[in-house]
Amino acid sequence: MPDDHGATVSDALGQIRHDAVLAFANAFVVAALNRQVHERDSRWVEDSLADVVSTLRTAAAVGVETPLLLQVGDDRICHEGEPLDGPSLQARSLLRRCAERGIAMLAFHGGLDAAECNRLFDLLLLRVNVTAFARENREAALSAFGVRNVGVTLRSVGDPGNRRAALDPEARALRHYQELAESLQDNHGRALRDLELTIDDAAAAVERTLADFDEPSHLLALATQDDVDRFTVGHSVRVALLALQVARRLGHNRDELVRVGSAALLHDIGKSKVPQEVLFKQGPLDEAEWRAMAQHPRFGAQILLEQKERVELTAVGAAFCHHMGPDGGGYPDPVVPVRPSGASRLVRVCDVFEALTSIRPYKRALTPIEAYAVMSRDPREFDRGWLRAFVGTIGFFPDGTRLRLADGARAVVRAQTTRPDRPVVQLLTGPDDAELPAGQPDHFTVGDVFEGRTLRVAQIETQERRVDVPELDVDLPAAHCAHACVPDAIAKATAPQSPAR
Amino acid sequence: MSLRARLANQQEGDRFPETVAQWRLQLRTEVKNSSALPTSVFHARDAQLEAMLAAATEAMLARLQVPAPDVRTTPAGGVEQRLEAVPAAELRALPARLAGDGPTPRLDDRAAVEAFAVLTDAALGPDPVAATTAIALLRDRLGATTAADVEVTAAQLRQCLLAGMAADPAVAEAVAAIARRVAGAIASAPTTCPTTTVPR
Repeated sequence: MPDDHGATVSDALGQIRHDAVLAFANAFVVAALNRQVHERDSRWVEDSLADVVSTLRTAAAVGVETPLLLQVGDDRICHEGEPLDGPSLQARSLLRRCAERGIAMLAFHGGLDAAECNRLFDLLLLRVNVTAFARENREAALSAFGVRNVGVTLRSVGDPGNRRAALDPEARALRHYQELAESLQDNHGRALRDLELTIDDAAAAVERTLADFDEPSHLLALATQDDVDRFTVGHSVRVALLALQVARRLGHNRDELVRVGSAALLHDIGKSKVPQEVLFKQGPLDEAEWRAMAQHPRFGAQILLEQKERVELTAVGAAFCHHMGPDGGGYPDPVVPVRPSGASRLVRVCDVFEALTSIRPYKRALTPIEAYAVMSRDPREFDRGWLRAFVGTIGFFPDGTRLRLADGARAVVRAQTTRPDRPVVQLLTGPDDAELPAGQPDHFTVGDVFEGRTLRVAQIETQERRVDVPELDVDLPAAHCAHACVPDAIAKATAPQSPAR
Repeated sequence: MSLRARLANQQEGDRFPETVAQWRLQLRTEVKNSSALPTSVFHARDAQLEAMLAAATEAMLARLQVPAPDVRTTPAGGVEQRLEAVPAAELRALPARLAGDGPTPRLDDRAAVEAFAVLTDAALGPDPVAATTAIALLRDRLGATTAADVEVTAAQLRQCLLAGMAADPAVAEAVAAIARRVAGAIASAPTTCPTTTVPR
């Protein structure tokens, strides 16, 4: 079967090239973010510029055509017309600066070096250079700054860039995520430099997100693609989205949601005061480093209390208590015993769940059901009420999870029900990967009788792992996760015309 | 220059109008220096012609610039990624572990107790700005004034900090001592604290 083999090799090469482009775009976004926060010649900027150069060379080495072209729209970075959502998620400020300069595309030649890239950022990021790419200045500016290996294409007259945000739900979700991330990046950068935070901007970003929160799955699906680990911004945004989703499902009002969303967004603000050698160390921390890291909750509370702008005590409490168990165990070591509030206990559940289910340089990701098992080991670690509410909202198999059923059929989760172990799924194949018969219904609830048989989940399939799911011991009472009922979502998911494969 | 201003400046790079002007000047100087002819020979009568010549020279010289070789590479040596082991038995037992019928959790549960404790921690902490804010907030929440008896304020604070906690004489005594210290700080704090606008 030489044709099949050829196609497989070609697919694999295409994937390698795509990953290389993604890695380069991520490195470019990280370097731009570092330039906005750190000194121009700091180690952090130097290291991230080195990553830009090396990822560009890797891309060229695996066959990505050079110059490597990145199209920069208002919302997204694209390559050959394909959106690169991962790097776009934290690129709000970079994209805005490109838009201010009328830039449509950046073309990176293989000879780019770190110093040249740093000079490019002078032109791209500094407010004083906003007119550097005006048609009458562009050539001279690029020459004077010694930028020879990056070409800049300007938007044509009358081309406003990509302005789909008002119409397209996915683009709207992307914009919300970017705003949350940008607000957090800005505040972390300010905290690092002892500047006043912009707490109101963070709350406003949460409010705007809530206004469009009828598509939480869009936001959470985007969140899983955020690979730019900058001040743990992606982590904090995901924690905020999870907290908002759980609190919203429990019926909390808008003010409470904004308070808990802002608190979750800013819970790690104290990390900006932890030495970056410790914060970004890729390996185990020694005792002194650990002591420095363990102070970040106290630093966070202090930073928030230092603000002249009004700061909600919910945020101060969550910053201080997000590493404490429900009875106050954990760290930091407070001068008086602390009993964390409900908001802080929710932020803790979301924080740890996110950390367990995300990939870090030093660890692989657990699936959600494995994360719940880890989190439920010691009842002193997490508030059981909030953990139950969390599981009831997100489910054992969150929307979008790929499953293998007991008969060998593949399926994808489309919605949650009142039972976290019984989601609504859409079949992708028949039993043992056979093709699905045409016209056969393909949506059903796990555990219900479907086509004469009752199917359970046998395996979770992620990109890197297959996790066997045993038969679950106890028949869960529906009441304990009553908040999980999402009638509209189920109705949408089970309607034959709505789901897209 | 303040630290903030210095950091802000260090973050900045070059400004393009000045850089372009300086670059042009260097190029023209280089053109003139590389000739044995007197400088006056290069003074064109026609300003437009001089500008065109300069632009053409700029373009040629820009193309002659050779990129510096780059020797940087990403540091080698990856870190092994670990994976937390979760046995099947633990997954099987998960529903039982999560089962239970507690009340629906509330975001504001214990909010006041947490606030008193966190503010007390900050009030006694090393950060003077955070401590001042925390003292002002505690004074505001306790309804204390600087003239109030320190012991009354301390008793109020002690009661707030111990609310909902199991009775432990040793802990209660330690908390009482801390409450007296904070009450003393409240009593001696200036009345014109800048943070009195912070909401409860």
